[in-house]
Amino acid sequence: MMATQKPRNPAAPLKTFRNLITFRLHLLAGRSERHSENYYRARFDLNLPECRVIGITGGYGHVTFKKVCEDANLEKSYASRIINRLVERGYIEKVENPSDQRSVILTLTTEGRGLHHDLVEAAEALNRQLTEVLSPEQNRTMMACLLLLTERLSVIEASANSDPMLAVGPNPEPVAPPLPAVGQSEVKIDSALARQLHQLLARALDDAR
Amino acid sequence: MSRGPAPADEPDEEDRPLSTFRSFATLHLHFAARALERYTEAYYRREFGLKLAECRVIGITASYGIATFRQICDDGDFEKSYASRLINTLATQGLVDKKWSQVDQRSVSVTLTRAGRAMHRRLHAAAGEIDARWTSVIPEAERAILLRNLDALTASARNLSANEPEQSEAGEPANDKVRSIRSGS
Repeated sequence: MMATQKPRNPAAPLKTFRNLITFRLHLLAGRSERHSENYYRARFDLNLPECRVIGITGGYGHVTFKKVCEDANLEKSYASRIINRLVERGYIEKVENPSDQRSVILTLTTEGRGLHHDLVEAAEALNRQLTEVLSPEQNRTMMACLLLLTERLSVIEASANSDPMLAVGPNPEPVAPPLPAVGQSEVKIDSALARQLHQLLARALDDAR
Repeated sequence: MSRGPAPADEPDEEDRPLSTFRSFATLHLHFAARALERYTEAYYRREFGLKLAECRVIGITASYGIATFRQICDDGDFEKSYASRLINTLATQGLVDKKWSQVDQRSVSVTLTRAGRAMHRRLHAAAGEIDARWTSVIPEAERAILLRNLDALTASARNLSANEPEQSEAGEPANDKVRSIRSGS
C-alpha cells in the first residue's frame, strides 16, 4: 500500500536559515567588510577595493592589470576606474609591458610604497581588534577552516562548470567527498600556508578529542 | 606612460615586493565569503530566478512570521533603500505581502504569501544542501565550534563598527559601497 503524504499545514512554522554556516559566514563577512570599508576610508580616504589593489600591486612588485583583476576579483571596467584613481593620486604607475605591448604593468610609486607600508600596519591593527575575541588556537583553527572551505568551494564550482547536474541538486543525502589534496586546488592561496593551517587544524582537532 | 623593466628583471630596492596581506584573517574571510556569494548568487538565480539578497529577505521574513522593515534591514545588513527595492520586487512577484503598521503608519511589516512560503521551503532545502556539501570538509563536531567562532567574530565586528564613525562619499551610503564592492560593480 502506498503511504499517503501528510497534507502540509500552510500555517506551520518555517525552518530557519540561521543555523547554516553559509548564512553566518555571509553575515560576518558583511559586517567585517562594512567595518573595514569605514576603517580604511577614515584613515586613508581609500575604499576597500583601492586598498586591495595597492596590496596586490605591492605584493607582486610588478603586476599585470589582468592579474590584479583576478586576485582582487574585480570586473575589468571597475578595476580600471580604481587603478586610474590611484594613478591620479600618485600611488600607482602604469608602465609598458615589454613582452606584450597591448597590456600594461602596474607598479607602486615611492608614495604608493609608503602607503602600502601604512596599510599593512593598519590591517594588522584591524585584524588584531576583530579577532581578539578568539584565542590564538581558535584563530588558527578559524583560518584553517576558511582555507578549507575556500578550497572546497572551488572543487564544487569546478564540478558544476563541467556538469551543471553535479552542482547542488535535489540529493537528499549529500556525501562528503574526499578532501582535495593541498596544492591541487585552483584557489589563489599560498599553498604552504594552506598546508600549515591544515596541519594545525588536524592537531587542534586531535587535541579536542 | 613610461617604459618599465621586465617583471623578471632583478629587482632593486624600489622594485622589491612588499609585505603581503595574505596572512590576515579578514582577507581570507572576505575571499571565502565572496567566493561563496558568487556561487550561491548564480545558483539561486538559475534555479529560482531570485537574487541572493531576495532569498535572504524571504528567509528573514519567514524566521519572524511577520517581519518589520527594520528587522529585515538589520538582519540582512541591508541599507534601507536597497531593502525597500528588494521587498517591492518580491511583492510584485507575489512572494511577500506588505502591510502598513496600525500602530505606526510610517512603518511597514512584511509577511510571506502562500507562494512565498512554498518558495521558502524550496530555498531552505537548497540552502541546506549547499551548506552540507560545502562544509563536508569540516568534521561535524567542529562545525558547532566554527559556528560559535563565526558568531563571536560577528559580534566583534558589530562592536567595532559601533565605535567607528560612518565614512562615506556624499550621497552614497557606506553599506551600498560595500555592496557594490562585492558585486564588483
